[in-house]
Amino acid sequence: MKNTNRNLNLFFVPVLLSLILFITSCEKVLEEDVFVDIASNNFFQNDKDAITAVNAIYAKMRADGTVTGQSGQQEGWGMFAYGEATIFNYQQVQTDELFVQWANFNVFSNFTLTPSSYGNFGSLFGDLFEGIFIANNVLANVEGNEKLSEETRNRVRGEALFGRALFYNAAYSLYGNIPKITKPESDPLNLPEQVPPAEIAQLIIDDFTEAANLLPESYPPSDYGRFTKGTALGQLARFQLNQKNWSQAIEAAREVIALNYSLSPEYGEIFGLDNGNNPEIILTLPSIAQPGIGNTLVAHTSQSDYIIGSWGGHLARNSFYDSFDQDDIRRSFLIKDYTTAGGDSKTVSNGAMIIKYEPDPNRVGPWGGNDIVLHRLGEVYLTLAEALNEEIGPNMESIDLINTLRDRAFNNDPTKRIQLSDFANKEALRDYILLERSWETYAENYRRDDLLRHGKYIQKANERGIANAQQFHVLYPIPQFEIDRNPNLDQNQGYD
Amino acid sequence: MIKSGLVGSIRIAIVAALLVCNMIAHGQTRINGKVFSDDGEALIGATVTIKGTLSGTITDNEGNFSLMAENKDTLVISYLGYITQYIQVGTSTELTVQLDLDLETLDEFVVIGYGTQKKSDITGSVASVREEDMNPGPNVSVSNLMQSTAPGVVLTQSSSQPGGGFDVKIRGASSVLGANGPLYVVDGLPLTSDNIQPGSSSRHRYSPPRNPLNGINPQDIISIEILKDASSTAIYGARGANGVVLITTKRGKSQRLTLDYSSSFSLQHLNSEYDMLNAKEYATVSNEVFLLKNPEDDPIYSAAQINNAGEGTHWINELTRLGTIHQQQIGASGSYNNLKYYASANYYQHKGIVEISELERIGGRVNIDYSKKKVNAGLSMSYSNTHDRQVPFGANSNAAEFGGLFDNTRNWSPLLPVRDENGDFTVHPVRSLIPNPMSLLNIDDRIETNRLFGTAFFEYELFSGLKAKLNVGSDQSNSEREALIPLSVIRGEQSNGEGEVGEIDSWSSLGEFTLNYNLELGNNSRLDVLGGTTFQQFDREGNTTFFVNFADQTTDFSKITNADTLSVVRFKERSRLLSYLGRVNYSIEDKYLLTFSFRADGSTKFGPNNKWGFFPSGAFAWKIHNEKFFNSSYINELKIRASYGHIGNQEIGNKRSQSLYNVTRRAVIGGQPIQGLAALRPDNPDLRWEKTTQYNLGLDFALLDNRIYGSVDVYNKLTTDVLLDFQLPGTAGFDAVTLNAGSINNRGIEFALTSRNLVGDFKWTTSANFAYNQNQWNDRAGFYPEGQQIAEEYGPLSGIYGYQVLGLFQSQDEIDNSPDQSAVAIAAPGTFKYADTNEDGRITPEDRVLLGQYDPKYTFGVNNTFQYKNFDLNFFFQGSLGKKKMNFTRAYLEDVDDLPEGFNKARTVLDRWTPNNLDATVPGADNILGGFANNSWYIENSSFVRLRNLTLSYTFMNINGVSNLRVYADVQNLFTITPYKGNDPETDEFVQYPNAKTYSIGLSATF
Repeated sequence: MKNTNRNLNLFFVPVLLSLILFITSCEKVLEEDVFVDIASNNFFQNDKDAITAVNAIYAKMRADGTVTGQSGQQEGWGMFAYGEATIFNYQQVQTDELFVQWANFNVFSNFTLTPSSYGNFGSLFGDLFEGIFIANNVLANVEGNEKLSEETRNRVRGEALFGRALFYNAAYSLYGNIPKITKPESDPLNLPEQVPPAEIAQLIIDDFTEAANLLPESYPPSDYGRFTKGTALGQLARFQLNQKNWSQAIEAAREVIALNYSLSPEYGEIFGLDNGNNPEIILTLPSIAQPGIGNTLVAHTSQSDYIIGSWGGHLARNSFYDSFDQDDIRRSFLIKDYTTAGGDSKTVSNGAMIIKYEPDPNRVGPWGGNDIVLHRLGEVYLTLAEALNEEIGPNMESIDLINTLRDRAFNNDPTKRIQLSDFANKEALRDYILLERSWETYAENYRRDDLLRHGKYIQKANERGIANAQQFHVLYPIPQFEIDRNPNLDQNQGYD
Repeated sequence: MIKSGLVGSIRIAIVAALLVCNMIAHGQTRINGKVFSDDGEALIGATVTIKGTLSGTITDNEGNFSLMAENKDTLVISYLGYITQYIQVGTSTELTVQLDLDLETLDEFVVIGYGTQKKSDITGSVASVREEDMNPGPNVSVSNLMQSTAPGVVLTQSSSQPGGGFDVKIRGASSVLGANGPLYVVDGLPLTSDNIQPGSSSRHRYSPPRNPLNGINPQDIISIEILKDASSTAIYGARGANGVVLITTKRGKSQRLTLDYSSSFSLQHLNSEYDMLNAKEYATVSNEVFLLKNPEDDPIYSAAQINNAGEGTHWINELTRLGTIHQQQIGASGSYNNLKYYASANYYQHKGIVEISELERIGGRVNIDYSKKKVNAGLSMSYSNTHDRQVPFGANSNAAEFGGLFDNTRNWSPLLPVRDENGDFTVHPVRSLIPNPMSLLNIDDRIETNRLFGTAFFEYELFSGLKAKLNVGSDQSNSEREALIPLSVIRGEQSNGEGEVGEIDSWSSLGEFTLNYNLELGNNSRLDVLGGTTFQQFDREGNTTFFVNFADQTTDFSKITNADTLSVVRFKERSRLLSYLGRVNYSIEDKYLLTFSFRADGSTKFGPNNKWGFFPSGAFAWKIHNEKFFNSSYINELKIRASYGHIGNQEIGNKRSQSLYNVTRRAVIGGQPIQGLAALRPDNPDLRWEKTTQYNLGLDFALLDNRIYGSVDVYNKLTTDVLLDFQLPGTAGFDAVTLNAGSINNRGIEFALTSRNLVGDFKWTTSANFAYNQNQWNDRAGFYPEGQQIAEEYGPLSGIYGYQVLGLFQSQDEIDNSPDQSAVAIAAPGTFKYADTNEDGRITPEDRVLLGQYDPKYTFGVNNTFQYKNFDLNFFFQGSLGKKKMNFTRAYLEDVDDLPEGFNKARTVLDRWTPNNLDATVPGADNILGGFANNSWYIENSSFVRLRNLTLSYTFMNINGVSNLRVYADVQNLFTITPYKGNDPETDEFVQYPNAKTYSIGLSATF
């Protein structure tokens, strides 16, 4: 028995000692293992990393909520797609072109939005700045990064600069008074303050300009959809126009037109099922008929018995529908009378469905495969026409540019062309261009900016009977929860 | 020895069998035997008598006895402080009898961290729940057993679905980001706090996580110890701040083979539900609201349609059914030589009151102990297989295209039947993509979870009083979820069938080595020293695959052969905890008790600058009743206790201190979907554990021959370095950064009292516990989370903030003469009139005020037991007071704005505001803000007192070899007294599984 005891003691003591030694010698056990994710000090090591990082900008364009949050984020309903917190709603629903039948959109249609009543629409502010953060993070990590090839470094920098300016452009237009953030820093104890809007405008111009210098004119097919030199110049032209920098707008628009774009022979093809290689498109959000990465505008506007499974929320206003020349091909994409899937004839009485995108027979639920068109040559023509008119008054070049679009819209019917003599002065042509713009580019996210530039945003709302639309409504309120989280932010005037 | 023991066991088994057959033999034989205590020592002077006679003997110095008896006789073996054993003589002539410590006596042993202690020697605050205190009736998890049985332990059922989760808080919440639930330790194995079942964020598959403790069969549990103060939990260091629950399972005791069998069956029905508009009312109100907004248009429904509408479909009735619970348990325990064993098998099946929802569990346990001379060894293993069938709750969205089962069921038009004349599900009249609620029951969403866990230890006495112990443990689970949305659901139709397969494997492994030195110092003084090191690693990995486009249109997941994979999501994480621990218990003359303990924890979860945390504690107790000067015939026990210590909380997710890149949502480039990588969060190399400093002062007492006994504790808990996901403004690019800031204070008082009001033939015992906890921020450090931006500096952690509603605007005139509300909501007659609390003449978000708190301030439990002969009547009240809740459901169901769009509302809207109904109880149409802004109209008092259990039982003794047969009937949730207007003050959430009343009958028998 005693022997057994000794044996066990002999066994136990070394076990004890080695255990303690083993554990204490392994301080390394307290280092955290990282699986699946990539540690930040192990990223931006090569060209592929940099490209993967800049891809996040493209992903952010159609995702709402936080990019990386596993919950709460909806794929495919974000900023530049169709959904709730989207540029589309912010730029279109308060205008003379369209309205939404659902009660939760009344805050837009009726100009009754308050800082606290954003509901699901309110995430756009944060989404835009998250996009800006992603761009800033890419810029900070590629700058002077010798592990990247020069070609990739420049291209990725160009894409990130463009992305930053694109998001800033939207934030600048919608909220006006915003912070200027150019570095990927998010110190919770040092929250940013707003800057004079002119500083933001200059940043946008600088970024678009530098991006245009860095980005290639085109990509191989496997990179179709990325930002190009033309994309940057196109946005620059439009931004300069909104800034009423007419000569700079003219310059940028001419540079775009000089690039390898051409008008689509058919208006409808721009939005057709295989619009992926349409020569008119300058900025696009390519789509595939799959949940999260498809195009849902048809589902948002079609009546549920026209294209089965649609929601029938967004409709063109009757007044807008009636403003068209009835021979205008462009009106044929606004549908009032239709045959239901069941074969009955029906009419939409309070508006018209906006079936600009060709309904996709292979759609998956609401998700169609048409690429979302965010900028195209037709708009650049109108930008050039408008800027020239502002600069020199009615002129033949402006008239020709407009007639090029009207020829396409009326099957080259010469009687539908406008004449220089129709316009007595700059104001007359300006007003006409605003009309032509709505016919040519309705529901393409331009209308609010166009009306603002023409000083008619509030006036048009008042004319529709929205009596409480006031001058301060030219800007949206900053969501209350953003002010709550950052007390350095001041609410836009009129909402405070 | 081995041989005779084996023979003895076999003989006893044979005898038991013979007895069942009523075979009785005659004639006296000599019986020789030996009596042991349960730790193997011979019991000297134990009494052995023959039942019903005066003849008997006592055991000698070696515990032996010898007497003459007939084989039909029953021997009664008793010893002070031990449970009396009854043994049928039968044909055996050699008996080895083991007596177990009597836990009924006041001075029972209780389990503490890394050891046991006599209850009278406890210096900290430890509540103990014994098997006999546990709720009878069907209990799916250990959480059900703990409800209101100990003061300061607040269990709130978070969902009443089968196996639904519980929210457990001990002495109040002290963490924002970290878990607030206690650490669970089963037979020495700390369990992971991570969810072991795959969840889903998809609204068509969302269902709140079920209770992670469902894998532990409550019927195997013999005791639950709840450690509350710092001196008892500091030994668990960085996991001790929220309290520790030690669960001890049954182990083999007696030599005789004992079989236990129990079974119960329950019926459940819906407890309460909103009364919705019937078809005729629905059509009428639809027209009224529509015409109010569109005065020029024709009404939606014609007079004829309204007149013919009638009652319509009662959707809630379509959804619910009579639920059933059915359980069976068989256990066997006994010993064989130096081995003691306990084994059990259990079956539990719960078909919930909502169609298709179900939980089914099969489980088993084996506990083996070996002890011989200086060696003690043991094994505890448990296995369970759980099947959950889930229903799609939908997540936080009002009825819409993606809505869930419960909101859609309430809101669906009563004018529509479930199916149309073709047998297809009816379609929403306005928004055709909103799924018919009954079609959602075709979603097949199942989780199967296998869990195997257990510990094994080997203890050796190196020399007298010094024991070395090696303990290893493992907790391994695999859970797989298969969810199918078939073509009969709109979303399934859109994607031509949609599926999700998720899997989580988790594994925690434990290794620990402890030395325990026990020294008797004479004069009733004792020293008990513990030291050791432990290491635990938690691994978790899983993946989820989403697919669409099924080749064959089956509704059975297992038959799917071909589908398109949409995406695969994978995760893998690991955390480790390396610790050193020590404790000294010093008892001086059984009067003064001192405890010191410490633990050092190193954790992978924290930043490189703060890997280690140190958690010391100390306690002192004074048994006044053992002092010579104390001489009272009324007071049997009087002990004061004081403790102080530091404890921590590390229960946050992994990878919080590092900045990591993870995949984003997708874009399309070059015609292909691609993903990007973006940074998840900013890093924080200083991230560290939350530190809680807790004082506790307690008093234990027993009066009047132990007829009344109980305890009082007061405590003050200050948590500093609170772990927060500091919400960043949108401009930061991240939602949040994880950091340590601020402090939270919990202080309170707890009473526990048991009174044996009547003894004798008619017994009446009352056990009551009561706790008050005040929870507040001590320092917010600028942390004002969503909805609490205007929160009070020292407000409660679970504070509910919102606008104070003064009433409903009665006229435009009143609006014009009231503070401007336009920054918050467009005012219209019949909408809320908010109070201008800061009196600046306008209603702004600054006017929000603290309207209450979610966590209760007062909780209590009162249990009354009446015993008369073999009857037992027990009723158990549970109360939770001083809490409020935002009633989202009512807010939505009383907002008539979207009623004309095809969403049914509660019947209370018949009394909504109109110019002709000024004293309305419900706001009128045009309630533009919607009901969803937190305001005092919908923030309701959710205090309640509930008759949790009412049980009547009858016990038959010694019938045909069954030594104990108990039959009972039990009702759960018989009634609830509450001012809350929703369905249930406890389980109500925006989308919630309806609560049920449960009626059970059951029996338990011991052979």
